[in-house]
Amino acid sequence: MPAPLERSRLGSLNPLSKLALAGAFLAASSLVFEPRFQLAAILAALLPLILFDGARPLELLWRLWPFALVGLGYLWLNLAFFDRAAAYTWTSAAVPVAQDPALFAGTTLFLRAIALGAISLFFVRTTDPADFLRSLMLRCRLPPRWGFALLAAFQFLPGLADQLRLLRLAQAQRLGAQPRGWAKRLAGYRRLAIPLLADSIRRADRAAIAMEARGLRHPLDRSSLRPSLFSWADGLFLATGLALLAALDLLLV
Amino acid sequence: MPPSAKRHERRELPGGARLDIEGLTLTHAFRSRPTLRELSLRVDPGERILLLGPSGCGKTSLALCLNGIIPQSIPASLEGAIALAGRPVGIEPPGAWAETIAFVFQDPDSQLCTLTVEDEVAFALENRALPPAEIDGRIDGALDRVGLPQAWRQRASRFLSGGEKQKLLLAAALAQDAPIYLFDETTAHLDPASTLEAYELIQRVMADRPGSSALFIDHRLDRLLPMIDRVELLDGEGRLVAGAPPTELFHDHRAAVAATGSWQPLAAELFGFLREAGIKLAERPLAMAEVPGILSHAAHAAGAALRDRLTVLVGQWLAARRCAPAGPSGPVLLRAEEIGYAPRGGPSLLAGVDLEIRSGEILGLVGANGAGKSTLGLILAGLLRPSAGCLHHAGIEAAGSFLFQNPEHQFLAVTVAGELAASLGDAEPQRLEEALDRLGLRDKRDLHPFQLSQGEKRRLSLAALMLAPARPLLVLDEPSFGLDAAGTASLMRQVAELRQSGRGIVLITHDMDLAAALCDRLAVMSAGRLLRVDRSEAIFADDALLAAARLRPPETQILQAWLDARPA
Repeated sequence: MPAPLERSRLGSLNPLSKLALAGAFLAASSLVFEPRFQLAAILAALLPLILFDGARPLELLWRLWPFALVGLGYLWLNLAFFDRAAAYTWTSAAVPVAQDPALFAGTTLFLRAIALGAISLFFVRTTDPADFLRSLMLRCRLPPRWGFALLAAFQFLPGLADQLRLLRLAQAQRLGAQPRGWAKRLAGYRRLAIPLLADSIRRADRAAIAMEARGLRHPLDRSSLRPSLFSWADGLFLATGLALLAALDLLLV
Repeated sequence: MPPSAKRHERRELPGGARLDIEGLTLTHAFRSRPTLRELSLRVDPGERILLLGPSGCGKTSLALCLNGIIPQSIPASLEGAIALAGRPVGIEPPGAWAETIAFVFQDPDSQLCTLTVEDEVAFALENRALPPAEIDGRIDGALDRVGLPQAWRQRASRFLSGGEKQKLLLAAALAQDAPIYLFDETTAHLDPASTLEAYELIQRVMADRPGSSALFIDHRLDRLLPMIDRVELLDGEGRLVAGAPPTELFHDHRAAVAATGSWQPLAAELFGFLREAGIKLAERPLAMAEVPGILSHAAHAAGAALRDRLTVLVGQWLAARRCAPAGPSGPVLLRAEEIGYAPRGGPSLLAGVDLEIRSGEILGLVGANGAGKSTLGLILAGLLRPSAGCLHHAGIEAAGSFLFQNPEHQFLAVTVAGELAASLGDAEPQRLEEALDRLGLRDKRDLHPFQLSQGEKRRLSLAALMLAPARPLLVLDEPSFGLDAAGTASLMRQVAELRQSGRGIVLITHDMDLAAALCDRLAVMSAGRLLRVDRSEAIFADDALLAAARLRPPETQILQAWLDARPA
């Protein structure tokens, strides 16, 4: 049998257990309008990354800044434009905690944006895309045509940016200065789109030919070098995660 | 010579399968002219066949018919019959034939189906529903055979070098354990040293499988021909015009090969030239390495007059392959000082590059895949701003033009005529007509540039750059990629004309014979640094430098050495 994969402790869990728990936390975070709950969700997502996955706190903060930026937008909107008269009808239960409904709503939305980012980061950082797609194909009946097409796209995307950069350079050299005015710019994008599309279609064709030539066929006929297994660690992970979620719900909401 | 003439004696080897093609005519959807016409071919177990022909003659289309991808996945009308191991190909879907025929195509990046080394090798085996333990064993065996370390099994394939990716794809094909293999221009994207390694590897692994037959589609002949039993020659119309063992085809039917515009081995070209000049030698070599011994022996056996004539003729043949310098190079056009480049947030791609380019010279930029040649070329042409160092232009603002490796990148218009007009401006209809005639594209003036053949696209993109207001420096990035012999000869003429006009030319290439034929000086790069800039002959004589930069001397080098060793 093949040697076990080199994965971190969280990385070796079955991707589907992580997907299920991350889904539960995402749903709870979207439904519960409570800043302390959102804060707890952020910590629940980030602390395991630091403790078990070797993540550096600064790196995690760096990855979360786009979510924080969106969150700050919500916070500012609420502080600036919150309708305090109307707010009592829907935030009455929580007002005593926050005192100021505008600050309460803004903070909750700010933390929710970060919580959604942190939960997603937990899943993405600990899950190998190939493991994830393999589990989806083996356990959730994702057709291999789609699964391997997604893997091919994963290989292809980094090259697409280089391709676009080369196209821009090539056309800038022929056209001289950058086009001015929206109509000319639009024509410029059209000029880039055609060769980029033609190139992408050709590459996709070649990838499809390579897969077909190597016998890609119906899911039920395939075997897998590495089956998608659930271990006791998955059970422990799911049980702990769901218990934590239930406890947060009971204590903080 | 009819294609069926000189058919092979039948071989019966264990583990083999026969391929039979009978009267195959293929017309792609939305095309009026057939790509392949009445093609018949038989490949017996253990045979090694080279399919040779000019670019666009339908070689790859033929390959895709062999497992039914054409017409089952790529629509086309197909007449005639193809049978693998005695069974008609059309009765099964293409994927079902993966047990019988394994493919390795040219562009490694677009063939990788998975993310890691072991998944790539396992892919075809999982598709066949083999048990995991057997897949694991086959992965071990295949990686060992191609020389990839077992420790790389979980390595991400996208971080492998071009040569390593091609080895991985070869391992994946070997693991399929198919009786027939097809190699379609497998080394087209590789640097010279990786190319040599790939051919040696293919030769080694195929020698271990005497029962497996192999079809090669390739144009780098000198390394490949020792493996080949028979060459099947296609013409530009997709007809099989000859089929014979390599020695017979390239020496006895040289005119037929030349008429198709296909590549020929240099040794056969030289001996054809000598024969036409009246020197008839009994030997018929296919590899340049054999030539000096044969010539020395002939010179030793012949009288003084014939000996001198042989030397003169070899000198003439070598000189004719070189594009003669336009005289002493002119003033310096561009001087690069301490050039460095690192994309924002990325690693350094270039560092400390000092280089001078003069008017009227062709400077070759050579090195391994990823050495930084194209990046330096873009900086010299003024399309990328260096992140360190500076460029000194000789009193000119717009220094250069850059011919991209993919000619489609720089097309602006929707017709061929429009493409040339975009460079000329509206005021010069006369020059437009002249340019169309010179390029041989008058009949295709209203086609979209993407509809042209590879050679035509290359000619059009170069002409479009040349017709634009003159720029003194021209950077050509792999201009001969995908061209056949006729296309490359036409390109060399075009480049030589440009040099005559006093421009400075930078030629980025992996083709050392092209570099030897065209370049006055070579700049050798490795890992973003310039190792040495010198005359081509001096570079090709420096074995340590060539090894460090993963280069190989040109095929003609060995002949030049023989000539240099002759008394004056």
